[in-house]
Amino acid sequence: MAGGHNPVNPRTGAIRQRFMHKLNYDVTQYGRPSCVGCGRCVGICFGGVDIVRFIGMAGED
Amino acid sequence: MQTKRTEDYIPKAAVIRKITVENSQVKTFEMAFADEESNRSFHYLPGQFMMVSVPHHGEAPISFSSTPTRPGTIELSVRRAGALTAFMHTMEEGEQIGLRGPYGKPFPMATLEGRHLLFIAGGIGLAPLRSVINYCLDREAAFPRLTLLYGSRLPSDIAFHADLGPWRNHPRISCFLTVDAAEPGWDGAVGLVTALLNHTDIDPAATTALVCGPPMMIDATLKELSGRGFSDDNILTTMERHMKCGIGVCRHCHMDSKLVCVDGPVFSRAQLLQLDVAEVQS
Ligand SMILES: Cc1cc2nc3c(=O)[nH]c(=O)nc-3n(C[C@H](O)[C@H](O)[C@H](O)COP(=O)(O)OP(=O)(O)OC[C@H]3O[C@@H](n4cnc5c(N)ncnc54)[C@H](O)[C@@H]3O)c2cc1C
Ligand code: SF4
Ligand code: FES
Repeated sequence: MAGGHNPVNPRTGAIRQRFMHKLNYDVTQYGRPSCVGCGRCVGICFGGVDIVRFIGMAGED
Repeated sequence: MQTKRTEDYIPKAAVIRKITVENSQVKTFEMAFADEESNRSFHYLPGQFMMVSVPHHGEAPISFSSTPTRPGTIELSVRRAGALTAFMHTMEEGEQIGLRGPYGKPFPMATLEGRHLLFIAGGIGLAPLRSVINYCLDREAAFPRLTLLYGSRLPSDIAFHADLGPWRNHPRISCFLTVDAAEPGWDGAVGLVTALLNHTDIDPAATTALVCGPPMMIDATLKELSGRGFSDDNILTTMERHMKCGIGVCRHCHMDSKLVCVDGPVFSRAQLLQLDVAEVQS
């Protein structure tokens, strides 16, 4: 960090952390997920990041 | 749901008592809280850190480089790296600074008692290890044998001369120094800090390694120790991340499922190998 290196892969690491934090890590830490699946972030996201579709896909298997 | 006390988040005013120039990049700040009661009730252990702040210049985590066995003041050794630390380098004795903490999990000092401790430091990484080394030297019966391997870029980058002098003459600690590139007048070792392992006789079963330094050095050193027969539980290191809250709320310091500010900064190689960590590859 002091040397300016970035430990989070900007393509895969950031989105993995967002989804895992809301749907997995917070369940461990606080006992419930921190996403209710409302879809507001899906409508606003320029990059087309779609956590609701991800939840659906994860639920399929 | 976990709750955080607001007073954990409010910086307290501290006064800089003494500034020591360690090298061209690093200064050690000795400080004490402005309020005497805060000094009396303050307790910490090696490996923990403080969130240091100056209004308009930012806030950053800095490890203790002093030992709690010498109470009254605390020391933080700061490398000039960005907004806050560059400003700190312009500050003078007597000026005030904001401190909150201590935060983070310390080195497991109680479980290290009786073991041979092998310290491997690269650059500013000696700051948190200096805290552990002086802690161990002050508790003679508990820590019979210490070895320090310390690597710097250049001979002129070697910091903590005021400690290295007494350590070199101390019967319980052996010090080995190396540099990446020699300068005129340097007659010591040149090369990677891991090469110094060849000069020491170490029984991996009786030894715990404590490794602090830049990411590249950590990965190489952890692999080397593992190859020499150290079990992953006996290889300890510290992880660095940008931080905001320091108390496990903001997740800025995330490292896979862990938060460096509350689950670390001290981790064993065994813990790190269970996670997806950029700096440590199996
Ligand atoms: C637990 C812990 C203990 C530490 N102990 C010490 C210690 O004892 N001594 C010490 O000197 N340092 C220590 N550090 C490192 C120190 O906290 C960092 O160097 C900190 O960033 C300095 O703050 P700053 O405001 O001076 O620098 P910053 O302004 O934060 O800049 C530091 C570096 O980060 C880059 N940077 C800043 N913001 C971003 C961003 N948003 N995205 C990408 N890059 C960015 C800058 O370009 C620069 O290279 C420790 C860190 C941790 C986590
Ligand atoms: S779907 Fe709704 S609750 Fe879930 S992350 Fe997006 S905005 Fe937040
Ligand atoms: S710094 Fe906020 S969670 Fe670690």
